Amino acid sequence: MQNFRLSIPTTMVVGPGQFSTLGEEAAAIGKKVLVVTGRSSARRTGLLDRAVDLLNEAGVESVVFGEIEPNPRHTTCDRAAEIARAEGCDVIVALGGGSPMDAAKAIAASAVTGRSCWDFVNRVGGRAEISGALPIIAVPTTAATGSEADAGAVITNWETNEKCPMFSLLTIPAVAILDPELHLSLPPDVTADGCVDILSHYLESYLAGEGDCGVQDRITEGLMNVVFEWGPVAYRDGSNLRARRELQYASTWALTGLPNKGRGGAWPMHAIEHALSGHYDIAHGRGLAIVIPRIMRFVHEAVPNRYAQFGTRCFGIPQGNQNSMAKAAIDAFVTWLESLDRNLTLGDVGIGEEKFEVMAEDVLRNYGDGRKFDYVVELDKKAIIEILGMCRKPN
Amino acid sequence: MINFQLSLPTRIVFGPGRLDALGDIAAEFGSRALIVSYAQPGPLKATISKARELLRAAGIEVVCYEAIEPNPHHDTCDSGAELLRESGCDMIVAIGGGSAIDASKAISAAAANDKSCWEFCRRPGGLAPIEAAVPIIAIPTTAATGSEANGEAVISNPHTHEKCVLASSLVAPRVAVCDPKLHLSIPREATADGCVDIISHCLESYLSGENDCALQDRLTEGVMNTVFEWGPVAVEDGGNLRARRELQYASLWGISDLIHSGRGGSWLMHNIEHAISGHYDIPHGRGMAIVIPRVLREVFLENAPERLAQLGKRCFGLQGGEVRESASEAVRAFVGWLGGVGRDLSLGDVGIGDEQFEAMAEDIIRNDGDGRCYHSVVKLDRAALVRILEACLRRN
Repeated sequence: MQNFRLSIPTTMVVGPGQFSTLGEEAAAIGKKVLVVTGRSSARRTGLLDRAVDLLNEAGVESVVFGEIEPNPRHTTCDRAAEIARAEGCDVIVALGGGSPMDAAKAIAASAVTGRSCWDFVNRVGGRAEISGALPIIAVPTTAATGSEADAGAVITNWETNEKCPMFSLLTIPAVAILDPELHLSLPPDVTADGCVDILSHYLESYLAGEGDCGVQDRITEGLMNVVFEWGPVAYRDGSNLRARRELQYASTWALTGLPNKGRGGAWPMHAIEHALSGHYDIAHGRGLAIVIPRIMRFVHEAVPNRYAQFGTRCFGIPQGNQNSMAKAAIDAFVTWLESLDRNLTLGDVGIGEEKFEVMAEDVLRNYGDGRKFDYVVELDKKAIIEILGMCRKPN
Repeated sequence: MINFQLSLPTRIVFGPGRLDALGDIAAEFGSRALIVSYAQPGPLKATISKARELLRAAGIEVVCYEAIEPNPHHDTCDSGAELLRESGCDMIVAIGGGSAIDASKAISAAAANDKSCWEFCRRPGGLAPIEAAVPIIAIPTTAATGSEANGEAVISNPHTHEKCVLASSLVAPRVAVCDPKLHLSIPREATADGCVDIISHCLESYLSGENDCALQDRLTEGVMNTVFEWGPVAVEDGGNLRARRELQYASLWGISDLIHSGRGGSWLMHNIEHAISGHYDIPHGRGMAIVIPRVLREVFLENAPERLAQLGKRCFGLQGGEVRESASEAVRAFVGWLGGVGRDLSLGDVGIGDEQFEAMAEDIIRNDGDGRCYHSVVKLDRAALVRILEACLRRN
């Protein structure tokens, strides 16, 4: 275990109907809200109108910026930040999935500092420190990214095809309103992609970090088991409020530090998926569904104990030879993916091998040291291309 | 599930050797610290010395209040508050177990609001709101109460034999410095009592609250499984740093709103134990070890067997089957675990007879009930509570 410091500053307002507290939560923080949302969903469902009404009722002014694209672009965020500055907004309400929530963080930092948010992302050449950010109220309408209670945001530079993360304690949302009623109309595809995303946040550190963090392991396994149990329920019956509630809460804890702090561990699943969706603009969870099982197959022999424990505690695989248990755990995971129609190959999402080399270089440049990615098994360019090749073959 | 709001305001600084961060942390809050610890610190003397050194090295002046008794008394806390005000301290560094940390919360509230801390304790006759608090840095030296990361304290009034709760998010420690090296010298008996305490926190809402909180259930079972696994290791080998570390982190989450929020439920087992130790001053974990299995049998077996069955399946590897049978098996498995840490006890083992049973039942109904009965998964009148206490006299 690595010594750690854990702060979970987000106040969580949890339960069906809690969206109605939006006005009073905003009024407790500021006077003028920039509502940051995507291009269609919140408008179409009427949620955006409801948000503005609630804010009005609480005596809080609002300006709407409804142009965030899935995989938010740095230029879009910079434009929104300028509007926030010009309008004198003192709080941001992020309404939507991971994209508006991530964008809100970039906007929050850019609005206060006056710099382009691209200056703050982690990439070769270094990054600037965020010196200040507007407070954020996150209202997630997907159970996926966990962006509602964490310090990270992933921003895309479409000109250079780079997708890079930004982290700052100053951009952790002050409040997360977790109302599962807002999730009832999520289509099955979004639901399934979201479940894979949630799991990826648990699996990265769990499978690769220090193996002596008993409490963290139990917490992580418990949270993963919630997703394994309730994901398929919500996929088959989107109107099941109980399932939506469990998944939502499981998504929120993933990146708070509660399951992972103390373990460390690298994040190759995300590094590779970001390279894919930097070039092909596929849904993050979809890309992860393809990448995760192949990484598992590629590395489990180096850490069979982790995979064996995963198998026992999440899939009830009986004790036996560790390597066999590890393989059985991966098979069980793929079976679970199948139940969400997420047992896929790159071909299924229209991606061929044309850019494998470029993407491998992206991974090494943005997430590695230029030549290798440090993991339980060192991943050089050849290894990453091999993993991408596995992604073209069935599980 | 009951809708809720959750805030976890305490920063957790965790790991072997992390006590060294104390000076830098204290410097964030001011320049003069009141160290609060036990009247008889015993093995804590070295830790208190070290803390003083670290604080002074960071330019923090130190005043010491080593006066707290186990099951802290309200007047002891009020005297601590007076000392804090008179000496101009701007923070409290609590060093010790639940009693020292709880006392520091009472001192913080009393000092900042200029009232006796007893006025903030939950009991009939109402309670005053806590409007301000002196910042607390908690250094827990037991893995038991989890008091280092929550806003509650249990304070005793020895004149009236009452043990009541003082609660406010304002008195939650700002920082918990969790260094498992400080736990290596916890004696065997205190280690076992601590494990039972952690389990007791987990079980209350798990058994009596709403049963449709899957995420909270999984987290609670995870904490319990950690204690079931590492408790016996730490009891047998107190020098095992890994075991101490796991228990320490488990104890923090065991009482946290993280695992309880949404369920509601009552704290029946604690309310009974508080009535007992209001009269007899036994260690809290010792009392809980006696009370828990009797309450499982007398109350939850009949009224929430499916919760016990789930406990059996997820914590004791029981296979399932008919609900009531599974529930009984779970209780047996739990008692077996208690025996493994030397805690399969009855009231006679701690020198307590039936003389005060009526008075204790009255205490419970008056302080935690509605004046006529106690509300849990089922309503318990005075006679029912006395029956539970009588069961505590008989062997498991």
